[in-house]
Amino acid sequence: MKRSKKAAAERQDRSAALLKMRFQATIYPGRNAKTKNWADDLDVDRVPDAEGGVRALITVEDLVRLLKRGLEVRLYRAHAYEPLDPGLIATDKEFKSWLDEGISILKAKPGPKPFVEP
Amino acid sequence: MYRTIAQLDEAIDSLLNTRPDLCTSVTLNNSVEGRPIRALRLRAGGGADRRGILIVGGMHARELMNPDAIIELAFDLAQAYTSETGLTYGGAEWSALDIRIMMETLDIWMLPCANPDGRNYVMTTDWNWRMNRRDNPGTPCDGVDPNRNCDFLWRVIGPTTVCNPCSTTQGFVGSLPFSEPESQNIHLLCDTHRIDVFVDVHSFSQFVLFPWGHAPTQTTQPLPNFTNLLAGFCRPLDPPGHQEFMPPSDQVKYQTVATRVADAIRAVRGSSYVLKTIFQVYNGTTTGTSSDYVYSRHISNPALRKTFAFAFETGPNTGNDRLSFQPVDPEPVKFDTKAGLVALIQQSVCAIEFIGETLQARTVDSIRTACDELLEPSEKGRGWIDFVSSVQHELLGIVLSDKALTKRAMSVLGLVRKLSAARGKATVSATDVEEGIEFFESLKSRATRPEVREAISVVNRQLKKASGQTVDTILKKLAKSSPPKF
Repeated sequence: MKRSKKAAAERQDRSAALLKMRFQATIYPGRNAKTKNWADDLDVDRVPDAEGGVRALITVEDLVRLLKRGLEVRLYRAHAYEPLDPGLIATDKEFKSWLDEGISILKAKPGPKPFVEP
Repeated sequence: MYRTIAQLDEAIDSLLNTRPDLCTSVTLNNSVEGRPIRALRLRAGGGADRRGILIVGGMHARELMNPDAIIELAFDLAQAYTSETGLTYGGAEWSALDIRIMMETLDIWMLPCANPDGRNYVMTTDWNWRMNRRDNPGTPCDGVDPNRNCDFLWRVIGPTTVCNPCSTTQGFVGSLPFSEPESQNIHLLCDTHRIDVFVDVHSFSQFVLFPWGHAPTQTTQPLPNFTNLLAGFCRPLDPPGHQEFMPPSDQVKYQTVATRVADAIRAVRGSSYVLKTIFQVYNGTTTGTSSDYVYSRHISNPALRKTFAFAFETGPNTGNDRLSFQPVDPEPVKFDTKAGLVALIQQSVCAIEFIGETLQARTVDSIRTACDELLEPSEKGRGWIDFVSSVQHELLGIVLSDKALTKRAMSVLGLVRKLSAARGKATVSATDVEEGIEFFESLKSRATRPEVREAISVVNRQLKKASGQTVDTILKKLAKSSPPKF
């Protein structure tokens, strides 16, 4: 009994995580698109595309909704719901070192005599 | 590496404390969660009512690179100015004199991180968060997109502009125009300071963008314009197919400046940034953006100054959206961005305004009006304006490097001002022509670039023909003749 409760909870966690995942997608009109403005009301998180494609970061719910509308969706990549990788955030030591160097340059010289005095 | 909100704040504090002669700040509205938001102003030397440029970053939270790039740019400019070294990003270079002119002729405003709550949320909870952290009452959904919340065709919906706070679009427009402090701060800065050029820095796809966002841009039919369109009803643009007017002279200016920005970025390491209107990004209506709002202000209210407003989309599409927003190594993209911003700052300098208005404290409106009326309407006339603007930075540098030349420049400009004020009546005398030619010959002997020397020869050839003519006649003739191409 205990084991099945734990398994159910794990399943629930996995489902919740899946619902929050984002999938990199390109969306195509499919056969049912009736207007050239078919992409105006997709209600998805669009990202720019240099080639003019309709690209978006979509959820599972978005995917189901788009497919129900008869659109074609190609998925390329799955991204977990999580914070920025902490390894990409500057540590205080790294920040301090950058700042100290910058400040020392600013302190070293007063700068030119301005063309117009303040 | 990406800096935290606390680190960005500390960097601003250090800059203010170390060089209060170069850096000051204004405190803006706190964020939704109460975080302080500040704008920095960089300027050196004196002079009132300078031209201003406002650089905004971090409006969209997940676009992490840009606040770091902007704060670094503040340090780079201040350092290059104080150490008189110039500035280099890869193959893009600006001389010490270029930097000095930018710092001493402009007010360079920077709002490095417009949406600090969002940035914090990206670092602690969800890498993909784009909006601010507004708790939308009556819904379980948080966030308003500050770049869809500005008072420009607010609630006219499109592919990335929605009225449903629970949409996964992340483009919720908010409860009222400018309901969000993060967007209010843009209009607060534009209302309280002179802003001639504006840029909102976003990611990604390598675009240099300009208005319009709600509709395709056209240059032939001034009416109907956006002030005649219905807004506020959560409906698509009405009428569908509307195309928004932009004066041809503005469009040329946008194209010219954006091309120079893209050229500077390419010089860094070869990255190719494409020029587009905001509408072209999604090939659909985008409203409530800061860039369209800032550019539209002078049309909604003709008493306001015109501000040329741009947006950048920095960094390439890497094929992995997460890494496109937040590359493991953002340094190369930041170099591109900083070069593009320096190019835009440089394009914001106006030699005639600086000499006439800042140094002499007298308006140059008569010159501006004569050019607006007689040169700007024709393609050839606009070509002449572009021709002058392409060499003005070097000429201003030469003028400012020598006090006697500065004095002569003021005298020549005073003459041009006087003749332009009486432009249909007063004629240019032989002595006026002589003074002008002598002045430009002095500049020519000091110019280093052959293009600049050739440009001065062109100016002097035109001057020789000016004796006995009114300014109107001279400009009308220019507007019909092709400007030289270098």
